Amino acid sequence: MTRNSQGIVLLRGVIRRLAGAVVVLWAAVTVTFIGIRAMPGSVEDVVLGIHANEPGLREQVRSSLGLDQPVLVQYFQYLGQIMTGDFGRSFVLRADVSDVVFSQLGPTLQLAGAALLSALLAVWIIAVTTSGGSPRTERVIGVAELLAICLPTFWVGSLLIIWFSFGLKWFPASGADGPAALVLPTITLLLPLAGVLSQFMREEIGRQLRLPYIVSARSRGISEFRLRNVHLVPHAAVATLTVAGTLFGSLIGGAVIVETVFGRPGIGRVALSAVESQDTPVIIAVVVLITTAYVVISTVVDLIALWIDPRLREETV
Amino acid sequence: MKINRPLTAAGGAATLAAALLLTACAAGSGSTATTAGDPVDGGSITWAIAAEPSCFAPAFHQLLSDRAVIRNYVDSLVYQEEDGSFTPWLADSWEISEDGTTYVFEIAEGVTFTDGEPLTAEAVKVNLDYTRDASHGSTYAGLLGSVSEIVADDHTLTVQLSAPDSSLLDSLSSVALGIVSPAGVELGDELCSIDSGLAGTGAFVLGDYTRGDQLTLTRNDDYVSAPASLDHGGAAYLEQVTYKFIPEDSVRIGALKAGQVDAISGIPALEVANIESDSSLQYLNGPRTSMPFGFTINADAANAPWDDVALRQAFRDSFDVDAIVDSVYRGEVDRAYSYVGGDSPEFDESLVGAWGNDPEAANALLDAAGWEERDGEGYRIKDGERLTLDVTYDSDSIRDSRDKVIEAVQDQAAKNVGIDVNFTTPTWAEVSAQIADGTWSVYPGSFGKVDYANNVIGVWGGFFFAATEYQPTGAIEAATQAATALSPEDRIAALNTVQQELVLNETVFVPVAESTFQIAARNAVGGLGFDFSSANPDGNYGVWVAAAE
Repeated sequence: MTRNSQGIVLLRGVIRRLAGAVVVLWAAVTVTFIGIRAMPGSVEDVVLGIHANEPGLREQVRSSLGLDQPVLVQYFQYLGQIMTGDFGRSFVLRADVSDVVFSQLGPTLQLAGAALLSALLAVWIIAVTTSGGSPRTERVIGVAELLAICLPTFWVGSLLIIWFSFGLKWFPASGADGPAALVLPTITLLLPLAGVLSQFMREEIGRQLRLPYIVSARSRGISEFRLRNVHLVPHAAVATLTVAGTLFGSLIGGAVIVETVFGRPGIGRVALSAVESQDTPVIIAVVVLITTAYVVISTVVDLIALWIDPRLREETV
Repeated sequence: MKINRPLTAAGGAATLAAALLLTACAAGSGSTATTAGDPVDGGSITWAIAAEPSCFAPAFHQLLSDRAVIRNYVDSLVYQEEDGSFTPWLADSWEISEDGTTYVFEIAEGVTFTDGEPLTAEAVKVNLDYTRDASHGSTYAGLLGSVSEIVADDHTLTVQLSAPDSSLLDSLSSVALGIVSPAGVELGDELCSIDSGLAGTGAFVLGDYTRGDQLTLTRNDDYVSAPASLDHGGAAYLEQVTYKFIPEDSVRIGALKAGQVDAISGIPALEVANIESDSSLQYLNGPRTSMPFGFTINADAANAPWDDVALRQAFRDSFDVDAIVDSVYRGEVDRAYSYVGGDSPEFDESLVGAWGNDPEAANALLDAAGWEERDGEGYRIKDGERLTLDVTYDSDSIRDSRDKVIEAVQDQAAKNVGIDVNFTTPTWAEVSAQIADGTWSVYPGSFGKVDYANNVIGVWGGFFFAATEYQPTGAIEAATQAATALSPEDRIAALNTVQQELVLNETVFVPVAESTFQIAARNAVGGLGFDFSSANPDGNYGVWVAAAE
């Protein structure tokens, strides 16, 4: 295969991905819109509060929120707005949605990115050093993985704060000032992710260790370090990365809890309060952003997989 | 959680959402022994508070707790003292006409907003006229509902009313009617954002702000407009004030104990002992002037059989309020007797011991109303229907073990008299929709530090019973008398009638527990206190931090 045709395969993959992304975004906006409308009550009740029964006020609020239009008209207005990048104004926050959401995006991406990268790093180290070990080591690691997955994020976060912030005073309990403030939230968020990925990666490496190419590599006298890091990890990495990409969504879910416990700014906290007050423009903006991030990440993961694993390139042709 | 809901009553400093942040504690139980010594100039303080203001403009802020923040950079026309009286602030003096419909304020001279604009009567007029015009969408327009015209002449402000308004000074003392630079007023709710040019005459100036994280205020060195009655004039002691937004109670308290912050507000009753046992901390419990937590009951036929006042009274007397409040809050919260907070000068003492904890009488009332039969579980039935009372409390508003209080009531009402209390926690949107169409049953909650006359007119008349055929006519008429009373004595007499109507005669409100705000701080922090117009923690004008403990 020539270098050129490899490029075409990659390009085709990217274009197909982009088309898919548009469909996914549209579907996400539509489902969210329907979901908000299906919830009992409405944002107008939240905006009105105890003024709900003042004559004329409800009509005024409905028209300023655009709720006096037929639902289909509202839906297409939203779609049109979003396509031009305008997410509208939140009547609950009394601010432009883009300003609110974009100002909160940084801290969340920082947190999610730090959690994802450190989870991958941790998993690499655990898998390389422990897979194929004694049954006892396997059992201990297995239990640790289960705990990491099952322990409630809220509880883990609180415990870390009590130990490392209030007790040892190593890290601040809240805020987003500098790298020190990122440590505890990152650990809280990465635990369940690392648990799942580690299970996955260790099993994959364990499987590979029994394959004939390993046996022949060992018979050539290759060092165990080189064997694992150069031969085994790339094999297991493709599958692990794909899983990591799909788990990104759960990272954002976890961020809602982590941001609340640690009093960190971020999109999770904004999303939570928006859902509670049925603040449609904010909810849709958050959904669009998260969906976009999700699509971008899974595209990148696929492309990395194409790069790591030559077989995938051939299969696409 | 942050939950934002504009809910101020027409005329009251009330928000349902305030219930979120209201935690209740026994007044006077605070340990105020501090090692802070005499005031120290300079330094900084870091607060941790639960809720981040979603709007920084007085006319559009949403939560009662926002007022503690806004108070730092916004002054009011008049200052509310601890005993509920009013003393000069931005208004040097005022005169009220004999018929109570003309107020003439002399506005302080030589005061400037922190954007450089001078404070004049015209500047005050621009603020008040903007807020009272309902089409501008301020939820506090109702506070100025009695105003017909405002005339400004240099430093003389004449406020003409269409009818006497005994609440006007209370309203003007509130952060909601705080005065901001006229340059920003026309921006309307755009003034909510921190970089909108929002400027007051206050002791601090808005500084750096990170949404979801923290707000910093810096000292206004040119401050000259402190309330006249304070023994401290000129600039504030502190150079810098930081508010960190930490929604989790346990993290806020832990951050204080670990020395990461200097002061916190919003302390759940069950955490008070934990704070008081720490000798490096002080604990302050605010005045019991807010409306107590209690059950508001729909007396309309839509809520049958509870349209029968005898049944409502039976429910009211079916449980032991003292025992319930004591067991849930372990002595940190006082039980409530009335719709008015126990420390308010408007509280009707005659309600103490006048109702409650009388299962025998309650059973007799229920028997007489024809609910004599019982089903297999011991609940009363009539014509095959169980005697059920639906209590719906929006989940966001539940704070400080209030769900435990309701469950204890549920338990006693079932055991003592056979009433089935059905407690559910839907969203505010659902609860509000039921209230809007009059089909609601019981709403438990409190409305914060309200104007007790206007709150009845605005919230009972204008919200709970706006869509029902039933009207709490006696209470609303008495409240109207109180609102238009010409003397404090007449106002208090009319408000006594309001309390008796709501709790005793009509029993559309069953009080349970007093509501207060709390502060905890390091001992090195001096001068902490409460803003008596809102019962919330005050701004930081009088606060200092001693250099070393």
